[in-house]
Amino acid sequence: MAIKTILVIEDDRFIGEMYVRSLKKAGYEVDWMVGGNDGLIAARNKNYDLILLDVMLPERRGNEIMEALRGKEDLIPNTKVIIITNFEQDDESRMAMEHDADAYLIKAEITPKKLIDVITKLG
Amino acid sequence: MFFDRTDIYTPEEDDLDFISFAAHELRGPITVIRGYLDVLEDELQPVLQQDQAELMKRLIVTANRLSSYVNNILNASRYDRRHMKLRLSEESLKRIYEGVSDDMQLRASAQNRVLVVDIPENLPTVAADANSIGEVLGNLIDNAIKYSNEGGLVHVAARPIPGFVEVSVVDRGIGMPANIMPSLFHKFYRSHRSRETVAGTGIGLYICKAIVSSHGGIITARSIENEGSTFSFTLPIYDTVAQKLKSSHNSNASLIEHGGGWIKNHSLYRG
Repeated sequence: MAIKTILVIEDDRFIGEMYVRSLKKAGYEVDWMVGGNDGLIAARNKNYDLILLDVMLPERRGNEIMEALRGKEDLIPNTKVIIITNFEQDDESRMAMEHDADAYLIKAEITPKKLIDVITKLG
Repeated sequence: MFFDRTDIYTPEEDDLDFISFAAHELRGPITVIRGYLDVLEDELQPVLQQDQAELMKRLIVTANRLSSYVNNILNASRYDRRHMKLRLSEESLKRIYEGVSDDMQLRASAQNRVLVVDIPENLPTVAADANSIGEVLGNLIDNAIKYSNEGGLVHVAARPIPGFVEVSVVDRGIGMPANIMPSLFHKFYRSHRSRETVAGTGIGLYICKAIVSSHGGIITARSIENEGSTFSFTLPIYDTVAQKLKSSHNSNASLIEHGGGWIKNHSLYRG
């Protein structure tokens, strides 16, 4: 299944805009949410092919969103999730997130071009 | 009267936490700088003059290097807190190198060095954490570039030896005197000469050694002053350790005698 629609949940405006711009230029349909609550609502309401999920978000952390979406039952069985973060935690919340996600990427290492490569491989 | 001042002299967990926190903070701006450069390089390509394109290349190389320094600091902090974890899987060196190849070629050409890479296709696969070994290669190649001369050759090669694959990074640069060799892999060590002539923190080789020995390999250096240096490291051939790895869920603990450390695989991609 090729990836067409993407939800970006990222609170840093510069970083969010950068991903949205590059993904749109690459032909993806992109929605962008800056808060954890809005992000979770959007993820539940619309069937995205892919969610790019930041971890350090206002209101609700990425790991909580992941838990809400895939913890007890998988609410998004047709959606891939890529965790994007600059803070590597050495704890269980990360292990759980990694387990439930399709990829875990460090933002500082992933330029838009590399991100699109990963998305293409994932799709 | 006695004062207990030992706490002044021992690095505390808090200090390391602070360093790690600060280094993490740097990653936000680095993300923006590297990302926007990536975008601009593409979009400005048709209009940039040749000299401007060269400046752009230097910006990208510098931003990439900054990112590597931050990774070194984070890795060293994790290693010192015994929080380093490797996730070993069956990897080919060729593929690991491909992950850093563009960056390395760019670094070499921006500094006017010739980087020649000779990694045969048919080498046995190794048990490795691809990202961490990519960082080792990046550090060693970066050093070879720094300590060689304008137009100099940096040669990366790999060959099988019993039980291991050995990777070498060879330069024909300024080399090192024999007396500094024993301290080379110590944290923050920099020779007098390096301190005077070449910028650096003395953390790169320390973390290279930490990563390689956490794989169950060894890292070595040979050098002749004014003729150049060769840094080599070994990685266990996958088949020789596959059974051990399977029984420990791909953690490196079974491969090293004094485990306990771990390195995060920080761009895990499950295809």
